[in-house]
Amino acid sequence: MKMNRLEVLSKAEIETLHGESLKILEGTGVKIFDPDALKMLSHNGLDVDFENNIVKFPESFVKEALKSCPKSFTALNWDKEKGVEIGGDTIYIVSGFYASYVLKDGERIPATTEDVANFAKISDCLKNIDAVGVEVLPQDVPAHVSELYACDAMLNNTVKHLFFSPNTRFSAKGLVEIIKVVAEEEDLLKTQIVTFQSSPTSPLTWESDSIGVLTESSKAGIACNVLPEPMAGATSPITLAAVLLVHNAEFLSGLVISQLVRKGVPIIYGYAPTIFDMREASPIIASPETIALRVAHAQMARFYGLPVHCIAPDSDAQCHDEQMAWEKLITFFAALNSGANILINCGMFSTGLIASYEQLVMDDEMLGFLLRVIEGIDVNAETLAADLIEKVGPRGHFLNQMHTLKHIRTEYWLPELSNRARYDNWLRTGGKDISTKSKEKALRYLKEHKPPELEPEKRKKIKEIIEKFEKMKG
Amino acid sequence: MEKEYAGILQKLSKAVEEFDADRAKEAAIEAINAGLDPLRAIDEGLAKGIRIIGNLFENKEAFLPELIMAGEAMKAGTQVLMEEIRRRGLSIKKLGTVLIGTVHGDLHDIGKNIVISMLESAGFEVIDLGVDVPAEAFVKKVKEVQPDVLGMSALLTTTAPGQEKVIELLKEYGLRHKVKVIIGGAATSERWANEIGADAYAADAIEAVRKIKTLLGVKEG
Repeated sequence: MKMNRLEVLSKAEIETLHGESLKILEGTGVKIFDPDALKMLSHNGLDVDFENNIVKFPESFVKEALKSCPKSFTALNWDKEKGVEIGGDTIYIVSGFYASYVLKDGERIPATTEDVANFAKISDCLKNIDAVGVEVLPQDVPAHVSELYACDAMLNNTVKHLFFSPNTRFSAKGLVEIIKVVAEEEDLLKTQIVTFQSSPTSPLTWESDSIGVLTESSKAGIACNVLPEPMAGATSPITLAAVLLVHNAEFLSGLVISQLVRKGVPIIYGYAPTIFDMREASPIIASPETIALRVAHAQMARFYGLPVHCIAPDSDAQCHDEQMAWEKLITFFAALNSGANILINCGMFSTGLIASYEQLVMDDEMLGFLLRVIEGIDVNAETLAADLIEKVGPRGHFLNQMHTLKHIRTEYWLPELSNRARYDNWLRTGGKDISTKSKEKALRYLKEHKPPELEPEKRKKIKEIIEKFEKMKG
Repeated sequence: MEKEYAGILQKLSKAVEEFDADRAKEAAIEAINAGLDPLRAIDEGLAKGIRIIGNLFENKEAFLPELIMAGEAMKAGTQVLMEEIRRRGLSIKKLGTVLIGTVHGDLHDIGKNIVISMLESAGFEVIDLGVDVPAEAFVKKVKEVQPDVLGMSALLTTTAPGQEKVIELLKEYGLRHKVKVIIGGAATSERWANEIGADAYAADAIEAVRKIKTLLGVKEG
């Protein structure tokens, strides 16, 4: 069987969290800084305090939203050739996400549009990466349209499904226009070639732009990852149970809003668990507590039957060292084996500030390793091979058996970069460490890979959209 | 005629490449019936297949069991062709003779047997002394059969010194300059080979064949 999923919450604890979340939504309510959204919510029968921007959500609305939100949706590559049903047991790996710097030869350099293109191109080559998120936000273009430039760079370097977390409603509108051109559709509900993400501000607040992104996304029919990010001790009480509670209440508010904007639009139960380091005064995403939170979070999502997102693999380290390796591995393993469907952050570290080409390649390799781990062990007549054991007998060997050949490519994971050569052979082939080998592989991809290109007609239209938005203020 | 031969040679090679001993035998019989020179059938057919798999193995594109099973397919085809060679009274030119064994105290023989299979496929005559071979037995046999190459395997660090002992004994008996010595096995390395005065070290079966060819000045086929 497959490896058992990780669990840290009992059924009773999950139900308690759900019940307490409903009480917060109905009692305390959520602050929303957007007059249009408040009007819309009031119009739909919710209790809105316009003076204090507070909206209270009765249980009936949560129930209704959970009913109308789909349990799964199909994420398509933008050429619409390949689709993956997101939900249930699916694992969907996304590179990204929104780092500011690129680590090059040990130096932290502000990211450029060329970096966005390069990361997309490498992601296009990596077989375990299913979708491409904005790996770095380009700093060499006007800030209000940087995501539009990033989108254009990505579309020209990968055919995979795209992921954005629009910073503003303005940016979301621009992206939606571009995506409509690519998809050749006015309504994107049936053609999910992109996923959006929007985060409330913890505790219990939706800023105007966040609600704007969620609204634009839902109107356009685009699946949205609703991603609360409460920081233990800072924007939620310090205890982990309270972090989950604040997170869940915020998520449910986003879910209700999205379903009122458009019934049936796919919403993903997202989570970026962080604690707050009180010595450094900074958020931390790969602490042991966040491992437990990742697992608990997926259990909550499964309780609601919604597609689950989780950030992974992550690290708070600043260079390619041992800390990075163990933090990446444990966050990845926890997220994968908790049952998360969508895992974002391949290629990134430094608590989300830096990305590197080699890390993206290493994360792909690590993922191959871990996917085999959770695959578990198949036990049946063929895999037990009792007949063969009898046939070969004591003191024989199995190197010359058809059974060995038959399973050689499927029973074991084959590393592409990890060293398995004996010392002499390793030395003879250069004696390189894994990050050096990964970097070489990344540079080879950049040199050799020819990704499919957008039609010139579409490229032209996208250029016009970017120009139009650039002229606006944002 | 030549076209038919080319087809048969292709079948022989393919049977080895696809690890199919039965098809290798069938193709060998077909070769004989068609009047194809059995020596050519080995060299341009079966051995070609093993060279292809050997290259893939070296490039990490084929696995050890594939190499072994290709060797077994080649052996099955070769047996049929060898009978024909003997029947016709032809002689087959060997690339050289290799005496091989696992050193004293070491009972591991899978690796050694793979090396034997690859050497035979490449056209060497191999004399196998088996496992747990005392140093004196190696030396006695070297004196007796005068092989071109002596190959010694050791899997354990505790038994690897046995390789050194054999080399010392060869010197003592004045035989060291008469035979090339190659070592292998998990406990050994290039450095160890230099330390004990072996002529070569090989990390795997394919490399063993290549190094032995180099030691004997045989051109790569």
